[in-house]
Amino acid sequence: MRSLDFTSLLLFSAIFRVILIIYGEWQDAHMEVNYTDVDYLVFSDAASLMASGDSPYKRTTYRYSPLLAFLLIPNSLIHRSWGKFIFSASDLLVGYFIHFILQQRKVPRKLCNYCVMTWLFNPFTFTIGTRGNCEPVVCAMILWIIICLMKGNLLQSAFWYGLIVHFRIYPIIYAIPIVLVLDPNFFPSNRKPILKNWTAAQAERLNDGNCLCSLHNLLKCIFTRKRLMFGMVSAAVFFLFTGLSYYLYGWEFLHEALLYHLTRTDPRHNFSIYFYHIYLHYGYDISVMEKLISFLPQFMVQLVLIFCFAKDLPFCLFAQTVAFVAFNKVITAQYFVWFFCLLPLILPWSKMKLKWDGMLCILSWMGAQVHWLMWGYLLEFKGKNVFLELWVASLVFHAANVFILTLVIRHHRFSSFFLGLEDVKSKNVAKLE
Amino acid sequence: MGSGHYHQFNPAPPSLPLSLPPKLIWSPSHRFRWSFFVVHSIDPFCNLDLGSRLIVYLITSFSMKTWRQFIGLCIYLLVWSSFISSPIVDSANSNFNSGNERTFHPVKKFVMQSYFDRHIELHDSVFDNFISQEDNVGLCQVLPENHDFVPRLSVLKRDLIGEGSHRHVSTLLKFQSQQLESSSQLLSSSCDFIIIERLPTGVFADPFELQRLVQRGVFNDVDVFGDTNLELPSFLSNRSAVEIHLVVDPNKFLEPTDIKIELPLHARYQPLNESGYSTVELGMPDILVRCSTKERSENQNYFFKLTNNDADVMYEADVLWRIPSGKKAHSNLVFVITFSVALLSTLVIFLSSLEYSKSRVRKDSKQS
Repeated sequence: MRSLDFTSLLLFSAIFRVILIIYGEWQDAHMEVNYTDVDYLVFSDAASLMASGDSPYKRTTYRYSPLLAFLLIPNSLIHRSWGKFIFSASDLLVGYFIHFILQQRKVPRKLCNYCVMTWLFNPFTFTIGTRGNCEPVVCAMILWIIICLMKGNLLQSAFWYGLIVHFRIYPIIYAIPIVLVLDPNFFPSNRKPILKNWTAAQAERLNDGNCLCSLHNLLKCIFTRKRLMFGMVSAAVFFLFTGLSYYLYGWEFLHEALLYHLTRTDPRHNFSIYFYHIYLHYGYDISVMEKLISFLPQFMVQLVLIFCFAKDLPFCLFAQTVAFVAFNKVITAQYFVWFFCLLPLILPWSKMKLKWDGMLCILSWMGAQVHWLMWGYLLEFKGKNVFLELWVASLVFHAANVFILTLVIRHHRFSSFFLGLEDVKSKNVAKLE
Repeated sequence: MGSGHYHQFNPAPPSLPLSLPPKLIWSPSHRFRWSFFVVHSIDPFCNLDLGSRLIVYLITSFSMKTWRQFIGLCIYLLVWSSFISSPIVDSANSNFNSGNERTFHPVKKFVMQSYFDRHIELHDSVFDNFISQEDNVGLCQVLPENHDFVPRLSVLKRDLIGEGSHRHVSTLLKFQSQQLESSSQLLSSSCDFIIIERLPTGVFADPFELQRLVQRGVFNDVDVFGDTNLELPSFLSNRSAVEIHLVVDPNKFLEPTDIKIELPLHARYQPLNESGYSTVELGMPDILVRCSTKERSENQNYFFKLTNNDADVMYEADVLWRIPSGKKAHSNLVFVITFSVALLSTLVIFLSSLEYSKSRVRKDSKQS
C-alpha cells in the first residue's frame, strides 16, 4: 500500500469539492433537476432579506438561527455560491480536525489516514457540503469542542457549546456526557488533562469501575467548579445569542428557529418510523400519555448510552447521535452527517474488520435506505398508495440502524478518553519499577 | 407629467455649527468622490434622470469648498429626500396620472390582489360575484367603438400531465382567425392574457418555482394568492389561486392560433380515505384579456372576459387528480406496531450496553 500523505489527501478533496460546486452550477442552469438543495435557496433568500435590513424569517421555511443568514450575506454581494464554498471549507476543516484528534491520541499514521478518508471520501459528506447544506459547519463546531476539551480550554469549549446549541438544538444531548467527563479525576485543578493514547492491546484495564460506579461518583460530587463553570458559560452564551436574535427578530425567530424543531411533527413521508402514525392522527389532539410513550424510548436509550460510555467520550457521542437520529420523529438524509463526522474518531478502537462484519453493516444500512427510497419513489413520483409498505420500509431501516449500533457496541474496545489521576500514578510507579 | 417639480433644488445649504477635527483632509478629489456618493444615495428617493444627476453632481462638487459645507448639504438632502418619498406627495402624483383616463379605479397589477384585499379566503361564489362586477377589475362590457378586437375562442382543452404528486395542468386555447376592419390599430397594441386558476385545497403551487419560470421567460408574470403554506396537509389549509400573465402580440390572432399554458402543481397530503385515494377536481380557469392601445399618445386599457357561455366553443375540461391518502383502517395497527418496535429496540440497546459493561467488569476481574 502506498503511503498516503494527509496534506495531499486534503488537497485532493478540496479540488474535488471545487469541481463539484462548479458542476452543480452547470447542472442548475442546464438540467430540469437541480443539484443545489432547496434549503440553500432558502438560506440565500433569507440572507439577502437580512442584507437589505429585513427579517430573514420573512422567507417561508427558513428555520435556522439568524447567524446562518448572516454567514451567507456575501451570497448576494460576491457570488451566489459563497455559501457552498463556506460549507465545503467546513467539510475540509472537519477532516483536518479528525486528523488532529487522532494524531494527538497517537493513532498510527496509516490507520489515521484511512479513518480520515471515511469522512473525506464519503459520498454523503461531499455531496452535502457542495449542495449547500449547513451541516458541515455544525460538525466542525462539535469537533472543535472536543479538541478544546482535549487541550483543557474549558471556557472556549463552553462558548462553542452554547453557540452550537443555539444554532442547532440537537447537541443538547451531549451536555450530560461532557459534564460527566469533566470529572476532577480527569481535570485536576493544577494541570491540563492527559489523553489516553491508542494501543494495539486487546482490552483495557478497568480501573475506574463500570457505569454504575460512575453514577455513584456523579451523585457524590456533581457540583465541581469545572462543571459549574462549563454549565454556566454555555448557558450564558446560549441565552445571549438567543436573546439577541429575539431582540432583533421577535417572536417569529423563537417560533421558527426554536419551537418548530422542538414540537415538529411532520406528517410528510420521511425515514422515521413515526411518520405514518403522525399522518393518521394529524389534526387530532394527542393525549399526554401518547406524548410520553413517544418520548420515552428516546430518553431511555440516551440515558443508558450516557451512563455506560461517558468516559469514552467520542464513542458516547457517536452512539448517542446514531440513537437520537434513529428514534427521532423526523429523519431526513442530512441528519446522517451528524454521526458520520464522529465515526472516524471511533474506528481505530473497533475490533470490527471490513470483512465481513464491516461490509455487513454498510450493506444492510445502504440496502435498507435504498429499499425505503424505492417505496418513496413509488408514492411520490408514481402516485401509488404504498403508505403501508413505506412504513414497513421505515421500520426495516430503523431495525438496521439498531442492529448496526449493537454490532458497533459489541466490537468496540472501550478506551477512556482521558487518563485519570490513578492511571497516571500507576504509570509512573510502573516506570520507576 | 409633473417631473419639473422634482428638479427644484436649493443649492445653498444651511450652515450648521459642526465641530469636527480640523485635520480632516478635504482635497478636490475628495469633493468629487463624496459628491458622487451623495448623488447615488439620493437617487432611489428622487428618481433623478441622467441630466439632473449630472447637475446635482457638479453643483455639489464645485460648491463644497469645505467639508463642513458638505456635511451640511448631506443633512439637508437627507431631510429633503425623506419628505419627497412620503405618502403625501405620492398620492398627489397618482391622482394627477389617473385623471387623464376614463373613470375607472387605478388598475392593480394583479386582479387577485384586489380580491384578497377584501376577502380572507377564496370561496367560489364570492369570487364569481367579484369578477362579474365591473368596478373591481375594470371590466368593460361596452368596448370602445373603434376597437373590435375580441379573440374568438374555439376550443378550450384542459389536461393533467405527469404522474405522482408533482404534475402540470395544461390549458390549451385555440382561437379562430380574426377579421379586422382597421388593422392599423392592432399593430400598436399589446394584449395581456390573465389566467386565474382557482386551486382546490388538495393541491398547491410553489411560488418560488413559478418565479423561476418567469425568469426563464415562460410567463410574463405570476403570483400565488391565498394560502401559500407549502407543508400543511390539505385539511388544515385554505384555498389558493394562481394568477398568470401572458403577453401576446394581437397580430397573431389574424390567423388561427393556439396558446398553451402549463402550470406546475403539487399535491398536498390528503385527509384519510377508505379507498386509499382522494380525488381532487380542478375547475375551469377564468381567463381575462386586458388590452392596451396607444392612441393619440394616451393609454387605453380595457378588459373583457373570454366567455364561458358560448355554444360554439368546445370544452374538454374534466381534470381529476387521484392522490394517495392514508387509510383510517390502518390507524390502530400502525400505532401498536410502531410503539412496540420502538420499545423493543430500546430494550435491545439497553441490554447490549449493559451486557457490554458487565463483560468489561468480568474481563477485569479475570485479569486482576
